[in-house]
Amino acid sequence: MAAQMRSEAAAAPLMDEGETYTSITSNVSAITLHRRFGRLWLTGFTVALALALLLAFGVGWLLAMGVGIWGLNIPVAWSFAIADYVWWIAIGMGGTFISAALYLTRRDWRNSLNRYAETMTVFAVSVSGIFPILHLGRPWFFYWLFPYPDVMNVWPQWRSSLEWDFFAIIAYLLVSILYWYVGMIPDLATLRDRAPTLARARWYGFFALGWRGEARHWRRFETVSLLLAGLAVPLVFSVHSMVALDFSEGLVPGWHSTIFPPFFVAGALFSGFAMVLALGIPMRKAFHLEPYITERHLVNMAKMLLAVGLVVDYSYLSEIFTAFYSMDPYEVALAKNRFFGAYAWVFWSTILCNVVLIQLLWVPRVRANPRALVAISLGVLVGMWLERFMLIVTTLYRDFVPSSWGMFYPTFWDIAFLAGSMGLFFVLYLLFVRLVPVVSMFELRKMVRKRERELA
Amino acid sequence: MSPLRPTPPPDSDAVGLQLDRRDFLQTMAASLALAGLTGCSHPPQEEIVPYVHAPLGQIDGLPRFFATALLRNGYAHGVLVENHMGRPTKIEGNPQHPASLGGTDIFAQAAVLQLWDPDRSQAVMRREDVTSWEAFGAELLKWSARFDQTHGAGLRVLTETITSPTLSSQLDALRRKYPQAHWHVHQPAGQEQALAGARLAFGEPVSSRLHLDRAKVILSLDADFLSDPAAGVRYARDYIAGRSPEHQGNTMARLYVVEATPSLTGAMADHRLPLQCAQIEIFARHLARRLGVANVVEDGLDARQTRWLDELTRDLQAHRGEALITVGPAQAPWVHALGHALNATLGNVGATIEYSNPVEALPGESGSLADLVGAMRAGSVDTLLVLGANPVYDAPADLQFAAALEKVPHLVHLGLYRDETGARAEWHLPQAHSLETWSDALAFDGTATIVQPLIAPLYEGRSAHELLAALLGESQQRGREIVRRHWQERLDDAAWAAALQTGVVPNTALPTRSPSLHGDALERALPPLQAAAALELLLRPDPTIDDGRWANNGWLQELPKPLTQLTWDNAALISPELAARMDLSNGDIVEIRLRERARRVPVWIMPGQAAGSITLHLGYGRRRAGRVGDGRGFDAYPLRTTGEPWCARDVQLAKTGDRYELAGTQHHFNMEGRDLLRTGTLAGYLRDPHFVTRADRYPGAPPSLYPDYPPGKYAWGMSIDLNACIGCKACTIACQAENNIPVVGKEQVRRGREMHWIRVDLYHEGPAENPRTHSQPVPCMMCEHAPCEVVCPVDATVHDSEGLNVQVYNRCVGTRFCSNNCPYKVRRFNFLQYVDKEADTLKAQRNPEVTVRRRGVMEKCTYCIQRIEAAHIEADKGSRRIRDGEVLTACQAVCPTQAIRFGDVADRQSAVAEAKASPRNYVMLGELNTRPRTSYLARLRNPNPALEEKT
Amino acid sequence: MSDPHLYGVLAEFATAEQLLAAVARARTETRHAVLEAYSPVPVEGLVEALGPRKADRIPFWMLLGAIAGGAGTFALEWYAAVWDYPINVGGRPTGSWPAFLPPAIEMAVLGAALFGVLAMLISNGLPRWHHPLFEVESFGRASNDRFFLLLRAIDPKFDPRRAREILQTLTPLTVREVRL
Repeated sequence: MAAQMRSEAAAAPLMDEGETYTSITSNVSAITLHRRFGRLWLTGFTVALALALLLAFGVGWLLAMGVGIWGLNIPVAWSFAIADYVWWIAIGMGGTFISAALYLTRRDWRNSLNRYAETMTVFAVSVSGIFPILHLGRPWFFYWLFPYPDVMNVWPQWRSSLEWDFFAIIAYLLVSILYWYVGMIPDLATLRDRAPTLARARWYGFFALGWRGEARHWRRFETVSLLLAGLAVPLVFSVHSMVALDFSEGLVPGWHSTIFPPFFVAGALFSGFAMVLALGIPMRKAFHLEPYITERHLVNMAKMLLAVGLVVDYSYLSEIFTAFYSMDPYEVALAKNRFFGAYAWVFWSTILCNVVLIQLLWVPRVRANPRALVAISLGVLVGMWLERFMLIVTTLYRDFVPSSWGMFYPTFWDIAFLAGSMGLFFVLYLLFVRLVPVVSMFELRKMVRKRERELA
Repeated sequence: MSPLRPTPPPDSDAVGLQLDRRDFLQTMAASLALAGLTGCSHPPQEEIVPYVHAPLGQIDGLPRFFATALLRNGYAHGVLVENHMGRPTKIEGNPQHPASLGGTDIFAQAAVLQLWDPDRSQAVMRREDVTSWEAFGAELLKWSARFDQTHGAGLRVLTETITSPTLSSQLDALRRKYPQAHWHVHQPAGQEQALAGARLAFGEPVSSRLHLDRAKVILSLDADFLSDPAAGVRYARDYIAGRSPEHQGNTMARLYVVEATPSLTGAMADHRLPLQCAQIEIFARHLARRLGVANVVEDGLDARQTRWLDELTRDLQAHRGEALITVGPAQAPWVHALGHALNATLGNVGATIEYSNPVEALPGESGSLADLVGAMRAGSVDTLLVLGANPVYDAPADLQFAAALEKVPHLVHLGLYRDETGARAEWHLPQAHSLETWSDALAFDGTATIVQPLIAPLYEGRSAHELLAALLGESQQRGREIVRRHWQERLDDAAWAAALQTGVVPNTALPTRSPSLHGDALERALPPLQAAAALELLLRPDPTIDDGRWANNGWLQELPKPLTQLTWDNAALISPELAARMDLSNGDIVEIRLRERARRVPVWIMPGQAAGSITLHLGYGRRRAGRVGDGRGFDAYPLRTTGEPWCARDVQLAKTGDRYELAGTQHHFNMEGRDLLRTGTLAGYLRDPHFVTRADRYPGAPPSLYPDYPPGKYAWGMSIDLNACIGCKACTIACQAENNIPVVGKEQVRRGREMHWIRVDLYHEGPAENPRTHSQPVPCMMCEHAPCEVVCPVDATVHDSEGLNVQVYNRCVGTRFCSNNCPYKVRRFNFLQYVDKEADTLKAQRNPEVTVRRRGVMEKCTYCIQRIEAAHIEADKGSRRIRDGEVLTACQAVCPTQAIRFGDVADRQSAVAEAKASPRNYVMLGELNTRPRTSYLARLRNPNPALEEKT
Repeated sequence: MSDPHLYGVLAEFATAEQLLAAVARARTETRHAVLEAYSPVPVEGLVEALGPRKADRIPFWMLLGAIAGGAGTFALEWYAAVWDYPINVGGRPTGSWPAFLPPAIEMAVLGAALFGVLAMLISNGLPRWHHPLFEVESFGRASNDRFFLLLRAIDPKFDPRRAREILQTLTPLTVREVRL
């Protein structure tokens, strides 16, 4: 199997021989500069906007009434909102990782993926950020987590993983925005120089910061890109470890587990890769990007999805094993509860999506089939959301003291906020594909340059 | 509220009003919305006497306590009322009162909310028109003129059970003045059967007085003496006194309970035998025969019951003179009579049970509600004066009281609420609340208490005394003067003041006497045996809203029923067998048919319920209770008849297929083999005193990486004795009253959002037909290594130097991680705006020492930190340390059995440290190394070895 | 200098190789020191070919940013939790340093990233929205598919006529004067 994979990877060039600087530049920039709004885009945008408005209304209602509009209770004081938060920020991780880790390892095939992957990251992280804030009983005081000399003379409580996570989210959001924007500057310059109207030239010119492509500028640009990539990879791991600690710092059975950080990071990459595929394949088709996002790109992504998926599955296994191996009555009770309890269906659906479904990716034909890949990716995305729901709710609804056990039932607003967050994400994403190059032109040009030198 | 805007009481002078308005505004410093209230809330005009120190001038901000009494079924419960700047805010028990000894029941706690209930009747109503006392006075004059000619023919007075000497003397005066007038008594859950039983046994009505502390073997025949309306609080204290091995020379009283439906007393039993009501009668006969009291026909009990009976008999005989047999108010008179006879033969009379003349005033012949209705039907009732009672709602259905009312020209209703009866009345008169009136009342043993008002009537309320005085056309019609005059010869001014101050009139307990048994009468009284019906319906007063009078009280509605943890509703309690047989699950609606009458009610499966018994609690389905109580639950009175008020035979049960959502605060009653609530037997305890902690992984607390913090000035801690806890939930409601805990309503309870800071967990152990039932109060554990604190990102929950885990409301942003991370789940969150920000009177009720929490913040038990701080201030004034017992938490103070001890655990001499030194001491989930400051004393049973089922 | 309004002379090439060759020639033939080369992709060796330069300080600044962010955050935490407002939280020591590390780490990464990007922009003289080269219409392809060599007028050895001659010999597509 492995051998066969390698042969597969060797085959099919990452870019067509015929591609030149000129062709790449004009093809890609045309998508942004000259393409008309398709009906597909318009319908997609309308739906997304409607959902985003639902979210906006929900936020208003939440602020007016309180988090009680959700199905939260004691003992289940966290549920959908936190699951949504973890789900979104995890999706973000995938983008950064693909862009940065593969850059460090000089995997050229990331060059056609990194732009929209990073974009996905920026938007996913932004969307995720609203949940921890709205989830507060008094959202308008969220800034109390920020260290500043306040009137009460109180500081944040540094031992809380929520505090750590607050810093993690801020750092991650800013760094991924920087990484994304810096990497976009040369392409913005290209758009500036090719803009059909003066207004748009000014617009792109402003963001291009006056980039001219001078040799020494390029050198420094390359240095900083490399170092940022070098920072981004550990950042991904640390940030999602913080997310994991939001739970594992607790002493509740099901949360209090040292495996959580690596387990969460794996889960994050898993859902991130899935989202990259789920977004990329339709976009590739819509914008005829097949020359740049080739079958080989998809195959590689599929392999990574499978690989990291297997790590996730391993963590499931080890979690269950340790529960029984520990013989801690509470851990054992929890494990059994997940198998057979009131929320067993969530657990088993998770297993179906994240364990069973991805085994299809062992089959080369599946890996090469865009439709199948989209289907599997969507399955994984669903599975990962359910996993977070399971981790949170099945842990809380039955902990130490049976007298306090209680069920969680979502309300309309729980679901509305989840749907609305997707709406918001796609509004942003659909605007992005209209405004900036969806694949990085200068990095594709670098591949042309590389080929030239290989020939020379 | 312009039409209802109360005019000041006639006896209040303008000056007083001014002063009081100023005081009041100082106290409230609150919104203009209070304008409506300021006019009418002020201390009474007459001199009232505070409990602790002589009445100096009011010191602003410092609460004062006044001794008075609250009535339950007419019987006095001595209380101390905490008064903030003229506002009664909290009720405590009166340590000097025999029925209290410092504790109270849940109803006394809720009384203060009832006082401030905005739904109370606020004005005199004639039919649908608001009018005035003056108008009624004029009408009254016309009537009395007529009565003077007719000697009161057609005049009837209906009251509830009365112990008030003043009131009964007024009624005598009435009957002297109007010989043709009649007085009737109607108490839905009264003592008629017991009194009738006494008549059977002794030929005269007598009151029984139990001495549970002196008894070594107790048999309860369907008697829930721990919730006895007259003496439950005192009986609980006495019973527990006999159950504490440490203080009883390593012995414990043994309790046998035979009952049809689980009760607090049944839950405390060492041996409990669930029998249908009808079978209990059979059981009683068997016992009587075995003890040679009455020679009655033998009838089959099954083998297990027979063995149980044999061992019980042996145990009773082995403890002559220190045994006690008590019979429940629901049992037939002749069962009570048998009980008296059995106690006599066992030589218990004078030792564990004493008799006295009846404490309650008896109307004499033809004084029952049935007699009244007969007269009404006959058209011989012209004017009916209803004092406090609500017969339109709670009269037995077969009397058809409402229909009979058609024949009564003039119905006058004096009541706290314009309830079902008030709505039917020609004249509805607002009654003054017990905390607003001068009166007097007797405790279960006859000890008298002068009831003094804590506040002038908020609305136009007046007392029954004042109404009767007016009817009698007496010169003096002011409540205080009426009561004072009655006690004139008995108490001089000094003694009067002393009585007011202490809350008891010394040496007024009724003398005990030993009436002689009419054995043969008893023999003749025994009815022929009825075979137990397949299904029987038990009607009982509701555990939290009683016979319905408390239906509009949010605290009581939301207080989980002690044995089901249900709130806001009643349900038909059925046995697991019956549920299995009819394939019923909780919330299924069934139709209960009793001859021609039928009710549709949801069922609740009650472990320990006698197989064929269905229990339905009275008091729900109110139509005119108020905004809180209207339409809640299911009215059981339509199934109640004069013939079978407590236990109706041959009922039919039919499944309807419909469902009803019940709101409970606990859903899982099985401890899943966890050692949260630890129990043992007395024998086991004596064999190995440390059995409780034998299985613990660590002796004491597990080791910790963290150095201990330097000890503070005090180290507050709590010890809860599960062996003393009877699960009455007084602690929960006392905490609610003390700490301004909001009521959230049924829907929120269903979502799992109740706010109680101290809950009482309920666990069943053993077979569902007859499990052992345990209660465990759970406040904050005040962990020294508090998991909640570490996860709070904003320092909103931290430790203070005295070991309190404090919650900083104004710093809390509401992440709720603390609640997730609390292994004991004692934290409560304001998911929505729960506190009522509108109702002014509710604002006036709140404890000014405790912050009112807004939406979005976490809250939890604070060990009543406001009381600790008050003690700090007092101690600092005297530059001394806080004395042990100086700080009583609300839950501790109210506990009838003193199961809760609180204090400085660092002080070896303190009561709490002493309790924690007991080998029965353990902490919940100690292996988590949270190091709780709240610990428990394991519960002990004292089973009869011969009966102990090997499990 | 002759013409104060002359910014430099710009030659346009089709390939990177031509540009590299041109740079080499320009430096050997004319000893020209101040040259600038523009390309749509980074061209390896180009910077070296353009002549000696002082090393970039970007890694240094990023290290500085990391230290500032990390140490600063840790110091703040220590100050807040141990000196300014020490309080018993869950029985943990006030200076529970392991718990202080996570925010410090995140802030170290953030600091490094911020400093890095700023250092890059500043040392590149960006943002600069106006530049004489933008006046040259064909220069727009520098961000697409053309390579440019600019001989700056400020160079002491600069002589417009000579510069044109040399550049012409390098088979450029065009040669233009860039004016201020």
